[in-house]
Amino acid sequence: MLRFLVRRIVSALGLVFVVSMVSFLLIKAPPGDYADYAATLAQSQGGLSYEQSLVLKQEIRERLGLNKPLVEQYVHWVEGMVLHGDFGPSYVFNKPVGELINDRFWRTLGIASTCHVLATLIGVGLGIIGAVYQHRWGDRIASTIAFLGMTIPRFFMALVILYWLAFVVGYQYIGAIYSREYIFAPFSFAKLWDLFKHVWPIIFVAAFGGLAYNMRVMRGNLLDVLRQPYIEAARAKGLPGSTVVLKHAVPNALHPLIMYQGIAMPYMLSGELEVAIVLGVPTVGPLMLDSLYRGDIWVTATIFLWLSVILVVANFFADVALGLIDPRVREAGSV
Amino acid sequence: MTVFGEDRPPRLLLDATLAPNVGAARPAAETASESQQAADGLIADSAGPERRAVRSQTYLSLVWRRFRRNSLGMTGAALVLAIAVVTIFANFFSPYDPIARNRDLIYVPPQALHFFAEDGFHLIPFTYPLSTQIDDSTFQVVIKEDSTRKCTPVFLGRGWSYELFGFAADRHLFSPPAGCPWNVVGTDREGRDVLSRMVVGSQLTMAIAMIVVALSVTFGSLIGIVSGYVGGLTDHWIQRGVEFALALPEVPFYFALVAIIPRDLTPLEIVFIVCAILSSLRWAQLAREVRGKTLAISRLDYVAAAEAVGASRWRIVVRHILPNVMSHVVVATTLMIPSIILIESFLSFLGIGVQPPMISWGLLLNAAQNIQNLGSYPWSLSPVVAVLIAVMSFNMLGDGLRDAIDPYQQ
Repeated sequence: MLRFLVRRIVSALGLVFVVSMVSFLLIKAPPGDYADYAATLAQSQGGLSYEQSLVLKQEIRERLGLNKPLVEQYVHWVEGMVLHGDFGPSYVFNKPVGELINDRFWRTLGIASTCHVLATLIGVGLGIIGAVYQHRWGDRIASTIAFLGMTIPRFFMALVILYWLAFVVGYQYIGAIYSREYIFAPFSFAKLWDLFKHVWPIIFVAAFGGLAYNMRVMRGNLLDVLRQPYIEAARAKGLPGSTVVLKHAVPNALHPLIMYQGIAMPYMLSGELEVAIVLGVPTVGPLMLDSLYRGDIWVTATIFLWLSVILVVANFFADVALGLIDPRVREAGSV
Repeated sequence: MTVFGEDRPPRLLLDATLAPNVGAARPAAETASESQQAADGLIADSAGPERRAVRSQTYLSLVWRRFRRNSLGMTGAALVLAIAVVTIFANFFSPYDPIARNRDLIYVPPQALHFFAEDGFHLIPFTYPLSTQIDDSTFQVVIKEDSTRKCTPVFLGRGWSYELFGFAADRHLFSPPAGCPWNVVGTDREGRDVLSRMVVGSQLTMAIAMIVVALSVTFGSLIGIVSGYVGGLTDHWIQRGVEFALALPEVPFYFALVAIIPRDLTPLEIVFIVCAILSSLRWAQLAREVRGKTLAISRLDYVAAAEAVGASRWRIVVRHILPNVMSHVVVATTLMIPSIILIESFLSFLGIGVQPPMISWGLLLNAAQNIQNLGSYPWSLSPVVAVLIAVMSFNMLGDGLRDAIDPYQQ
C-alpha cells in the first residue's frame, strides 16, 4: 500500500510540475510583460517622458527579475507562489491575482462539488433503475433523461433558463451570488438559502449534463454484474430482489465508477464555468473570460493553474480510494 | 468504409468461438464490389436459395443488419445524411444572401408562414409584406403585416448568385420575390436573414468539426496503436502524456490557449488556430482506448503467426491491427463530432472562437449573449435548434453504431 501511495504521489507531483510549466509558458507567450504595461501606464497617466519610462521599465524588470533567463524566472515564480502565496499581478485590476481569484475560486469549487455529488447520486440511482428494469419503462425514462442531458448544450440550457427567469418569471436573483442585504452579513442559514436561490440554475444545468455519464457507466456496469453467477446464486437462495441488487450487485458495480470520477470532475468544472459565464454569476468563469477579452494573462493562466491542480488532487484521491477498496489496483500499480 | 469489407481477419478469438461458422467461412475472400452487394441485406437474403454455394455474410453486412433494426440509430443516420446535404448545398437552400444587409428590415421577428388564403390552399407557404412605423409616443418600431398582398417565393427560382463546385449558380430552393420579405426565422441586427445565415453557417461549423475530428482521430489512433504495440518505455511515456492531457480541465485550457492567440490574425487564420486548439486534448481519450484494444489484439495468434512468417512491424500494424481497431475508431469519431460542435459553438458564442465576417452557428448565437438582446429579440437564439439537431443526430447515429459494431456478440 505504501509503495502504491508513494507512486501515486510522485505521479501527481509530476503532473503538477508539468501543469505549472504550461501555465508559465502561457504567461510568457504573449508579447510584452508587466514592465511594458507599467511603463506605458506611467507614460500615459503619470506624465513620464519616453526616456524616463525606459528607465522605469528597466527598474521594474530588475526588481521583479524579468530580465533573467526563463528558467530562473520560472523558479522565482514557483517560489513566490509556494512560499509567499504570490501569484503575480493583474494588469487590469492592478492588484495581486491571488486576492482577485481567492473568493471566486472557492465558490466555483463549492458549486462544482455540489453538482458533482448530485450528479453522481442521481446518475447512479438512474443507472440502477435502468439496469434493473432493462428494456422496460424505467430504463427508457432513465435513458431518455441521460440522452437529453448529454445532448442539450449546457450554455443553451443556461440561456433558456436565463430567458425564462428574467422575462417570464421576473426572477430577481440573477447575475449575482448574494442579494444586496447579505453581502456583508455573517454566515446564517438565511444567507445560505439566499446563496442557493442564486446558484441553483448552475447546479441544475451542470448536474443534469453530468448525471448522463454517471448513469450510462453505472447502467453498463450493473448489467454486467447482474449476469454474474454469484447473482444467480443469490437469487436461487431465495433472497428478495432488492437485497440482491442493492447488497450484492451495486457495491461490485460501483468500482469502475470511482475510477471514472477523475474524468467526471473536469466535466463538472467545465460545466460550472460555462453556466456561470452565461448567467453572470461571479465565480472564476466570468473572471477568466473577462481576463481573456482584456489580455490579462496572469489572471487567465493562474485560474487555469488552480483548476488543473484541483483536478490533479481530485484524481489522486480517486486513485487512492480505488486502491483502498481494490487490492488488484494497488498490486498492479501502473494506471 | 471498405476497410471493413476487404479481407477482415476474424475479429477476436472469442468472437470466432462464439460464432464459429462465421469466423471459419471468412477467408473465402470477396472483392469489394461483392461485399458492397452483400452489404445490402435484402439482396444477400433473397439471393441465398438461388445460388448453390452458401456465402457467408461479410462483416459490413452483419453490422448493417443489426444497425437496421435500431430505429433510433436509423433516424440519426437519416438526419446526418440530411444535414450533410444541406451543408454541401447550403447556398442552394438559403433564400437570401447571408451577408446581404437590409436596412429596412432590422430585427424583424420570424414571419408567420401561411398555407391558406381566400383562394384556398397554397403548396408553397407565403408571408405578408411588412411595413415599419414608429410609434409616436413611445418611439418603438412597430411592424405591421399587410394582408392584402402575398409574398410567395418561387420554387427553384433565381435569386442571389453563388458558386457551386466552381460553377456560377443562382437557383434556390425558395427564392423570395424582390421587395417582399420572406424571413421565416426573422432578421438580425443588420437586417440579414437568420435562416440563410443558419444554413450557410452549417458549413463552417461542420468543417471545423470535421477538421478537428480528423486530426484527433488520426493522432489518437496512431499514438494508441504505437503505444500498445511497441510497448516498453515508449508506451510508458506516451501513457504519461495521455494522463496529462486527460487531467487538464477542458474549457479553461481552451480559454488559456485562446488568450495567447495574437490579435492581428485574419478570421481564416483564427479558424485554423481554433481547430488546432480544439484538437489539442481530444486525441488522448481515443489513444487510451485504442491502446487497450491493440494490447488485446497483439496477443492473438494471428499476430504471432504474422510475426513468425516475418511480416514487418509496419505491415502487422497496418494490415492486422488497424482494421481491427477501426470499428472502435469509427464509433469514437461519430461520437466526437457532436462534442466538437458543442465546444466550438460555445467558444464562438462567447466571441472568442470564429470571428466575423465568417459565419458559424456559435457566432450567430453571439447575438444572444447580451441579456437585453435576448429579451428583445429571442429569435436570435434560433441557431441553437440547428446545433441541437446536429448534436442529437450524430449522437443517435453513434449510439446505434456502437451497438451494431459487434455483430458476433448476441
